[in-house]
Amino acid sequence: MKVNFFVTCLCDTVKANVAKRTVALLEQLGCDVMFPEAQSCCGQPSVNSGYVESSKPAMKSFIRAFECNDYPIVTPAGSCAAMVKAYPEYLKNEPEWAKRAQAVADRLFELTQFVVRELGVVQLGAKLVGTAVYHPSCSLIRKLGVRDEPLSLLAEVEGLTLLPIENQETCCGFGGTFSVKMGEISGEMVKEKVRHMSEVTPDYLIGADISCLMNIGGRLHREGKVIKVMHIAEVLTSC
Amino acid sequence: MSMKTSHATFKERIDIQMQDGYMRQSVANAQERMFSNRAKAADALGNWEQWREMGKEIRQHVLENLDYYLEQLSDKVVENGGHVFFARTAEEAAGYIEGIIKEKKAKKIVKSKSMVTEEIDLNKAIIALGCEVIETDLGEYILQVDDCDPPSHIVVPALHKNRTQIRDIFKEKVDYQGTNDPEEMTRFVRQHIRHDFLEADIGITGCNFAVAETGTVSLVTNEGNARLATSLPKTHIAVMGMERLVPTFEELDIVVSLLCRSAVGLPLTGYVTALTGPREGDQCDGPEEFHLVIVDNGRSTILGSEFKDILRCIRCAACVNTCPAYRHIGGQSYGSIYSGPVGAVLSPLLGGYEDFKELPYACSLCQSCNDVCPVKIPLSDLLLKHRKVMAESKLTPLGERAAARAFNYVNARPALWSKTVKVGAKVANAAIKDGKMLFNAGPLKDWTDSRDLPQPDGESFRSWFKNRKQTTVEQQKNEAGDRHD
Amino acid sequence: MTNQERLQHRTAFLDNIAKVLDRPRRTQAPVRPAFKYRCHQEVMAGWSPDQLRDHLVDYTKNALGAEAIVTTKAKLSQVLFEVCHAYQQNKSFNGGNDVVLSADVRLLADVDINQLTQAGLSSYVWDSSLGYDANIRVCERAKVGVVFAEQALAESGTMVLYSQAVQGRAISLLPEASVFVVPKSAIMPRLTQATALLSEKAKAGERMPSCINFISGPSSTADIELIKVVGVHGPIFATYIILDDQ
Repeated sequence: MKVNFFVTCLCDTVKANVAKRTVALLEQLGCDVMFPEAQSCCGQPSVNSGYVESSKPAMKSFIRAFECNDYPIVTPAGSCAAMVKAYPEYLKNEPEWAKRAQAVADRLFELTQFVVRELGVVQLGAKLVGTAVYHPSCSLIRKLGVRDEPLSLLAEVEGLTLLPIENQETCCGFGGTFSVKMGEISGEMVKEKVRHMSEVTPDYLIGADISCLMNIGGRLHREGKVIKVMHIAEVLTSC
Repeated sequence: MSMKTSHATFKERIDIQMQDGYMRQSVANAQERMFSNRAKAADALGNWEQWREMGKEIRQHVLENLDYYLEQLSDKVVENGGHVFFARTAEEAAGYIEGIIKEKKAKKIVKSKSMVTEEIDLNKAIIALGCEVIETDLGEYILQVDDCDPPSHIVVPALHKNRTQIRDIFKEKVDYQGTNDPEEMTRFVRQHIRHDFLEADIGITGCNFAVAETGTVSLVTNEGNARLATSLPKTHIAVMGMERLVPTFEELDIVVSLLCRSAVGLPLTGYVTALTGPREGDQCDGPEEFHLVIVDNGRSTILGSEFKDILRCIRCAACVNTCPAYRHIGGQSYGSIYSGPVGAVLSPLLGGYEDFKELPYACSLCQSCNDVCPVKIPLSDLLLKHRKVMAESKLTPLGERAAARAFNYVNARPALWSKTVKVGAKVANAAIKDGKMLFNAGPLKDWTDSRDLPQPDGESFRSWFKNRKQTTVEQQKNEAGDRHD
Repeated sequence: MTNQERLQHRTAFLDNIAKVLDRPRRTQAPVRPAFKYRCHQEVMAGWSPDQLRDHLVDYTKNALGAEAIVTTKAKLSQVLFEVCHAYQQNKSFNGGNDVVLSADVRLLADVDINQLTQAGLSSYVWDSSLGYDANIRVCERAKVGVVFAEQALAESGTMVLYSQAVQGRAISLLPEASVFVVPKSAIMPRLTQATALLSEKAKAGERMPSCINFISGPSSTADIELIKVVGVHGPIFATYIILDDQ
């Protein structure tokens, strides 16, 4: 199956290794991965700060980039997937663009959603020995409704035990520009998240959104905690 | 107290509040309890999503036909012998009530908890007339006694105070001699203000929901103070936000059920009281005169705007009880009588962006508020709309606007974006060492105050993808390596 | 004052609402959309009177911190005496020896006042013809107020009271303890059925009773540290007496 890869700006610039492992995972599943080069950022930093109007040219550019074929689009980030899925609403005053946006949005899948729902696979033969806390990101569970897919994939990873933590589904405090604009509040949120994680002393922190992982990982690093931060794509390609 | 409860800036307020260890512990505990009580109550009822959908549709229908239902309501109230005053502004509402006070030569007024009377700054107007006003809800009483400390929660207004603080306030202000035991203090207040109910000339309440068909005002309470305030004084004045009504008792069932379960996790609160006009002629207790004051105070502007969904709100505070930002900054940080997500949406609408422009940003857009709202208000979307309005009316900082413009310029040009990413990946890698920026990066400081930066991988994905040889999956895994943070 | 005089500033206010809604004033009754779901009707649907009674009793005892007693019409006076006497014995609170009773015939027909007024208890039957002061004075110092409930709601442990000349608001409000008498046949699943009855009254053009109370247990608060304290401004104690044979 041919698939388009939407890398997201954070993975592209800062966490390329996560992107590489996502490609590896998709190829392992028999996908022929294509990378439309004209893709850019989904626009969250600007849209979520309120600059909706001036973000529209970039949204359209994004839509154009993925109109190069009709294949599914896969991305290793819930929040970016949710953003693109909101394009039709943002562009509703331009019906032609809204239609094109909808077509792209309909082809777009978050990684675990794609693997479990579209490919129908949960057993990937991965192995990772140790205990882990899985952080369900807000975008995944509340915006995309992807709650069980990552868990069913992680359940099949040999040697891995997931530990529940208090207030598991509470936001880690990232929130995009929120983490900078409201740094103090965001900081308190991530401190509490790390406190709850530390209570169960896991070996790993696993998530499906690199932004949350950077946030929680940044706090773990600050506290000198030896908890290894892993994107789910990395976990699922571990052996 | 008007909408605005503080003259300090938002940053000043959160700095003060975040230092208040007791408040933060108390809010965290309260959130856990109220969140789980609500969730249990919703589960116990079953079909919660269906209930929410019905709640949303009822409230939506009322808003779409608000003029009709208000007309019906007011016709019914006068038919039953009551008075109705429509107030476009806070001043008009307070002015009408002042008129009644003067006419009755009232010396003492008992009030039960009402947010809209806070909004119109009613107590100030009453006191200016030389009339005594007693807030009789225990939480409100504590705040009033404590020199009118602002509320920190729309359902539990004194949530930010612990029992010892309350004991000390009572000791200093009302000569309380007992311990800090909540039951003992509660009983003290019962004894202490019982005579006020018996002596009061007027009882003032809010209105949870009016019923248009019958001209009824319903009050959802626990303490019995609202019943006393509407049974003993000769005059009862109910003040309601103009959107707080339902067509008939059938809809009242649904919204009251949603309110009680969402607010306190119970099928019903201790008292749900439905009051229709003054007492009938053959009865000897209950008010002889009933006045309903219907307040707009900015609501009609909201009704005609893209924010109209917020008028569905039934003031249950479920959103407050789940909000992670509220959890850490507490209610007083909002600087408004309305706090939490609903406060962040409502305060700028009712009180203007000038005073409340930061509130829509005090949100990580996690959407847990959307998930718990019993009438399905898309709170987090409304907060985003506020940001949009402010960005587009140039109320945001100049530097931020310039940054957004630059970002959007580059982001809309694929070739330029690609170049930027490739260079950016290398620069980021060089600029960050061991989680720290090697130079001062301005706004990133707020990030690095509480956490480190990630170590960038060095090469952009797109450079790698373009140059990669067709390799086996195994080789790719090795190539990508096991490097993590 | 005429109805019109008691209605102020309405036209401009409602015109403005129509204006912001961008349409003419709506003067005809809109069609109320039918409820999309019947989940409210499904709660405890099909339960027998005994099942409803058992749920009411359990919920009242376990969740409300109140008492619930199941008895018969014949034993009502004796049970009422025992309940009131027990409250009288509780000296930790204020309140005199008076028991104030509703004058509702549905209650008085089955209560032998003589049986109630033993062991130092005195009784007073609400009499609206004596006016506000006389009735309130008694209620204010009374230990117990006894009322007859129109309905009881099993789901929430709720007693439904309609204000009426024979049963003033204060009886279930000012005394320290409230006693509610309700026949088993009046127990309904939930608020849905009670509001449906009120809706029918409204449709029939009846005026609502000026004060309808849905009372679930004694008064309470959680305003200090969210700790539940039973007994605030309203009654501190409550007992429900369910007449099983009615």
